[in-house]
Amino acid sequence: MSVEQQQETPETRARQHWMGVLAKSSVAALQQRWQALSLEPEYQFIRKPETGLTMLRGRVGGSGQPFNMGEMTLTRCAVRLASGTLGVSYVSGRNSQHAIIAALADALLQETRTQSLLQRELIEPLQADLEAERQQRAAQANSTRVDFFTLVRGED
Amino acid sequence: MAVSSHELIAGFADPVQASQQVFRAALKVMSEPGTLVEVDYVEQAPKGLDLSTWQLTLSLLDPDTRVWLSPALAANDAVISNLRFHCQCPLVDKPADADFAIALNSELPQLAELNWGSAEYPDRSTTLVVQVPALSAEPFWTLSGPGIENTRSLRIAGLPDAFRAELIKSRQRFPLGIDTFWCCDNRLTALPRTTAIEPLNTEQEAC
Repeated sequence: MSVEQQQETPETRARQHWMGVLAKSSVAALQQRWQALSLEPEYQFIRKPETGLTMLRGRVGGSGQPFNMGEMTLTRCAVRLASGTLGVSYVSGRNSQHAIIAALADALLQETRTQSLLQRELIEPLQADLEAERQQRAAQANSTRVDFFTLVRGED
Repeated sequence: MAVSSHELIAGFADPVQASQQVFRAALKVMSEPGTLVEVDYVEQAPKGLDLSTWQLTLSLLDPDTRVWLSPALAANDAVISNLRFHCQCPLVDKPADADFAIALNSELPQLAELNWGSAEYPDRSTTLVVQVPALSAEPFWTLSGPGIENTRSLRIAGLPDAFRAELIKSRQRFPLGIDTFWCCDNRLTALPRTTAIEPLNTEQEAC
């Protein structure tokens, strides 16, 4: 049986965005901001944090054949809040606390009551951190950039 | 078919320990056919599955086991969603393609429809898991064979006569055959293909 293509709605796009930010953020920053919120929701594990391997696939350029690049460790977790909302997380590495916090945040972000608070206090600052880190890395790489260019020779 | 997130329930609280304990229970009932074992490692099962059936699936099924579900179970969103989420097992449409067939007693497949294995690989047969309304050690069927010292009694309620006759007859094709698990509430038993089944008397078997 094939996997059906999910309809992409603004809601799924928003959820993909915050799940991405939660997964990519550093554990320390996430934990610090999460504890500062002191939400402590009531929840039940649907799937306890479990660590495994996932295959990364890559392709060279836009037209290359996909190939298996290697495996990475991944921790996943699913929780259900007392209200019934399901939160899911897939994070790299083996930190189960990271997976639990990301799953809880995912669940709370789906609830209208806590969504704007978490967006403001958790997702936006974390995204700013990620962006700053990316900019810094880009700046470092940019300082050693070499531009290659070929002079057009009069052959045609 | 996508997983419906509102139907998902918790699996084993301690997956490593519990799935091994349930596997041990499954091993016990298979090696000592007809013994009843209770398994209590989950608090709830998806609507439509008994506790023992659900625990057996959590312990035995994974992405490498193809599963066939009887029509009522295959139409049950809670069952499908939880199997996909917790076991990630592929679901197949034909019982002959399945490694495990899970059925309710009211809609059993014909044994002939299942995969019996081949003479070279009799172990590749389908294992049938049946959920029945009652299981007890009352004298009804007399079991004998490997794993049973003398004889053992077992009563499985709610089986159609034709299926019972088919199951008893299936022993003639040994080493090919179908191994069966029987689940009711939190109790579990098994009848592997090596167990000979003798009805208490033919009269009772008919009624």
